[in-house]
Amino acid sequence: MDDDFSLSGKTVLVTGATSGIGRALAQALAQEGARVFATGRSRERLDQVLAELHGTGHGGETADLTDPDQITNLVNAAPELNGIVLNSGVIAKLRPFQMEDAAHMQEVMNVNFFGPVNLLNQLVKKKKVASGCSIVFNTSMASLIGTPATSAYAASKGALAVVAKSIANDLGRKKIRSNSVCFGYVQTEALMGSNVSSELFEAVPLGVPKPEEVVGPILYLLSDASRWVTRTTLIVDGGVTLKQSRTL
Amino acid sequence: MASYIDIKGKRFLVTGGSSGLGRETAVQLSRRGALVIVTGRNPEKLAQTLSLMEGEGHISHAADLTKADEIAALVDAIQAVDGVVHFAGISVPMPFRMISEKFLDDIIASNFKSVFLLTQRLIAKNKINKGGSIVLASSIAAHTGTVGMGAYSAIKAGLEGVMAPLFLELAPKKIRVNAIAPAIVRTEIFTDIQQSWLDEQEKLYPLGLGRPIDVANAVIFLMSSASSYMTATTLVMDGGCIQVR
Repeated sequence: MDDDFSLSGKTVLVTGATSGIGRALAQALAQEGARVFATGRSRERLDQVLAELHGTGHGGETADLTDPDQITNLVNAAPELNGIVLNSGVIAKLRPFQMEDAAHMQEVMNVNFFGPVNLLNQLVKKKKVASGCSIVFNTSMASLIGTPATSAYAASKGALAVVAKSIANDLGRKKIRSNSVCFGYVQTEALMGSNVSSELFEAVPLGVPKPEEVVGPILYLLSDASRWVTRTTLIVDGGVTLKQSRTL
Repeated sequence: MASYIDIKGKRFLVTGGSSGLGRETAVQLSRRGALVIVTGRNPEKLAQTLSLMEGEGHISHAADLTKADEIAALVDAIQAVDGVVHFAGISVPMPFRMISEKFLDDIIASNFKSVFLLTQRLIAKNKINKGGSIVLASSIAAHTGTVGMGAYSAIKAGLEGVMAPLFLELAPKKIRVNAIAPAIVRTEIFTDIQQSWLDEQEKLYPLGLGRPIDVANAVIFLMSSASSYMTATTLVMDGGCIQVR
């Protein structure tokens, strides 16, 4: 039967593919028969991810998305894309706004916002974005509720969530869709290695998932099953913001 | 078949299954190997839905969900389900100044009390399995709105208001509650006379008007483990309609 959920034969760019949700997504896409074009900063880790992907036809290129030359190099190497997942980013230093400074805020915006958005801008201009392409921005519950001590991070993710909507309006007539997925706590190396308190995890009604347990909404958005879905946000937070927005 | 959509062998209750989005959802669930219980008011139309479904083991049970005894009979008659999607409801445009108390009571009974009381009964009788998924049929009307939809918009917004408290009460059983909020979908509820109006509306939609299968696919996603960590959320689907906030 025709399967609208199928990802078979689609070529999908994943940024931040060398760890966390990006790596889990690359693996899931390969399992579902998609061709993955992966990117990340570390050559060694990118090669390792690519070597472990199911099937053939995958590729990738290292890039630091804060460097325009490296974006150009990545865009030139990229095939025509049916899906783009802008997943790369850093968890900023936890600090209350009173301790925040311009240099740190700029650094977080450069990595989390300008990097992926400049990459997408170049991909569109160089005609690497196929008609029918689905663009997915990975954001955070910080953009919904403004988690404490994360003003720079929250701002960068909030900016992504809004630019996703604006892009949906600009590219809709070309049948290019743009959505965001707003994640709560996920057991990524980045989060588990940070100084986030594990007590916060106990407040999550459905528990804190592993990266491979939260790629489903991205797969749905990349598939034709979501053909009519654009300019929206899927919240994948296990219900945590229902509690935190009131208690913190 | 995409392996991340794992609903084969799961059992689902679909209300409003005698036509439109409910019927399409029942059929698409069956095509993926799910067991479906369809309910609606009209037995003949339910039989037609059953005839369109694939595979064995599906059941139809006629019920008017505005009647408490018929809700009770439906819930008593079925096995526990892994999910329920509430499509039953009516949509009748009416200018605000002309809405009578009777009109308001009827639309609340069909679109709100029915969902509330059926869900309550399913929970009370342990007819929703641990890890199950409840999907409410909201509408873009809950978020934006247009003339003549005052009652409908209010009731759909009211349904979305149920999600968070209901989920938090069901959280120990990991039962999720989400809503879909579609804009205009071409279904058979539109008459021939309305087709030119639909064509005009479609110009506002970069991705076109919705098809019933687009909504069915959203329900399938929300019933599957692909959405395991989504709860108390609304999946807005509007084809990028330029008049929607």
